[in-house]
Amino acid sequence: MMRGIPSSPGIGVGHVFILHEREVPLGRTGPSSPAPDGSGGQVHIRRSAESELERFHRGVAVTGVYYQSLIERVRRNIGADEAEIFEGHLEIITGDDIAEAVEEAIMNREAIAERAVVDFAEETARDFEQLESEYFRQRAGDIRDIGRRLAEAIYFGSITDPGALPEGSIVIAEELTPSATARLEIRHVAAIATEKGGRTSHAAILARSLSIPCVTGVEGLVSAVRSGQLLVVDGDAGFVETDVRREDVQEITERMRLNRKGLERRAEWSRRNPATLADGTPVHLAANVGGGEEARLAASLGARGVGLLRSEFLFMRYSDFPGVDQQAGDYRQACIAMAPERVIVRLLDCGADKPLPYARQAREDNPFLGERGIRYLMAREEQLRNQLRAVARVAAEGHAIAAMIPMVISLEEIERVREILQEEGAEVPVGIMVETPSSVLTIQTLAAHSDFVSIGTNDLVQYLLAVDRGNPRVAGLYREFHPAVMTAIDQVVRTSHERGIHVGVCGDMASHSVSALALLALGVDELSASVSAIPDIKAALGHVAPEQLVDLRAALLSGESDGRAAASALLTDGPLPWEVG
Amino acid sequence: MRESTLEVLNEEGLHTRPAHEFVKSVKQFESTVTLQKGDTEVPGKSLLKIMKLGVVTGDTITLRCDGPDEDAALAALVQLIQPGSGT
Repeated sequence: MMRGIPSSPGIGVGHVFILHEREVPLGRTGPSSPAPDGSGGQVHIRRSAESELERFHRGVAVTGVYYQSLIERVRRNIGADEAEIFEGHLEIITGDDIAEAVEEAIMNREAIAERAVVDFAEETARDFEQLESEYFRQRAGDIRDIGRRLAEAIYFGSITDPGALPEGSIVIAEELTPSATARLEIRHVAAIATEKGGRTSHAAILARSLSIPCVTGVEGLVSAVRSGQLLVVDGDAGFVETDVRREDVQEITERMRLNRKGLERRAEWSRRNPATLADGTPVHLAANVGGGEEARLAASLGARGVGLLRSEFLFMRYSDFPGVDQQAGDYRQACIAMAPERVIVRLLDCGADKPLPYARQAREDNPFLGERGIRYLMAREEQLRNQLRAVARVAAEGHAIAAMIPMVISLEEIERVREILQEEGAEVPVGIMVETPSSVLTIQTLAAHSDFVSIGTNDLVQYLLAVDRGNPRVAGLYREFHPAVMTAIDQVVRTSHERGIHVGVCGDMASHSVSALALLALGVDELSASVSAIPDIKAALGHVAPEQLVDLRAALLSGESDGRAAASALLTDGPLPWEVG
Repeated sequence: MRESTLEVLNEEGLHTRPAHEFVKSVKQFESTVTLQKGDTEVPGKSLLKIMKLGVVTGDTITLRCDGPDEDAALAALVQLIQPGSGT
């Protein structure tokens, strides 16, 4: 048994599918030597120019077939525009330029086919890196990727295709990158386990939103399992079990089936029952989503709108900045899923813990205090403008959509966004994320220039308390119920309400019943929770009377009593509503 | 031979997708097509060489078509570079 970090609940059993980059040994020429990665792979020995040419052409054929199926899958799972980019890559692979350069290296420089391909890709990538346009400089990565795939096909005779995984697979990876996950056939994944990452890694968030069990941070995982081996992943306790007996499989499969049935009943109940307090007072419960599919899932659980569309997750699916058409398509999809309720698009918030590969952000000593959120967008106004255009286009089509600015610290940031919208002749509601201490202290001014505000509690707590919640040595000091946090939220709510401005919360605090109650007690108008938490929050709210929230507010703001305990006391133990009757 | 020097007006210049469109279009004609930016001239059939020109919106390029269907080829390619130009 191997321990890790429980990252998405549930238990899964299935056959191991290892998702990894296979190292191709490339030694220049001459006698074979061990592969540099220690995998034991030997460098291919050149016999003749003819045989190398033949190996190259076979590799091109294998790669071509791989790209064909990749293009189909990307078209289905992501969209036509992105699929067409891969079609371009296929054209490059089968085109004359590679073939000519590789032939030259094989005939005149005694290269083996793998080396010829990788050298050509590297040379071309460097040419691209010399170009003026940032877009073309970034194509260097595509070319290197093409070279790696070709070399893999030549050396192994096949390409590991993350989409071709059989039904009921346990996906094992060192780390799941967004682009790798975009290519996965997600219906075939029984569970996910990774060596790196944690609860907030891309894989974990994706797994939670799709209710796939997931364990992250399992040291030595990839080398400890074999492809095809039976494996149990326990996302509740956070471990991976390699010693699986046949009878266990049956029992776990049965539990998975019951679990799925339970999830279906839970979803059904959530769909039919609006979020209200015990006396029927309605509560506005929206969802945080990463895209259109998740918005559909949220709508099927009865969420009222999207309080946070994390546009950086949509951006991660592309290999380069998506254009206006592509973005508008993504936002429209979420709006259609949620109609007639509103979708709030948070403008691209990359950087810090959410790097965007093609954004090429410089390494920073202090990324959480660095160029992230609106700071990044203002430095690259073309991207800000494109994103606003896309949101405005969807708004003009009659969809309920709004834009939200991340990491605001001063009025100029709101004004710049409004200016651009004006230049574009667009009308879109503009709100701000309240997640910096400065935005809390100047909320009076900021709210006056915003159509709505939404408190991002994850960063707000971290910045207010000066605690990095990812650092285990101080993570214990990260306290959502700290009096400073309560006072800040109270101040934002009261000041905004004086101006008639709607206050939402889209941080983690809105996704847990205890803290959600605290937020309602403090007068927050809208909770935006993670999709999977919606039924539980609805169930919890149904037990609480409005008068209890009045008392809770006093306790939270007293600065002395334990706020978390006071909020927890309102929750009742007992069967969940979808488990009875 | 027919040639045309024109400003690139389509939204993405010759990024991967539009450049591939361009190459696909070139391959439908018998004529030999070249594309020149600055001092560099590349064959219209080579996606990689076209991309290495790094053509973005607002650049000026020269298209040359030589062959039996050069008029039709030039018209079709200009349409890709300047959508809606209607020439």
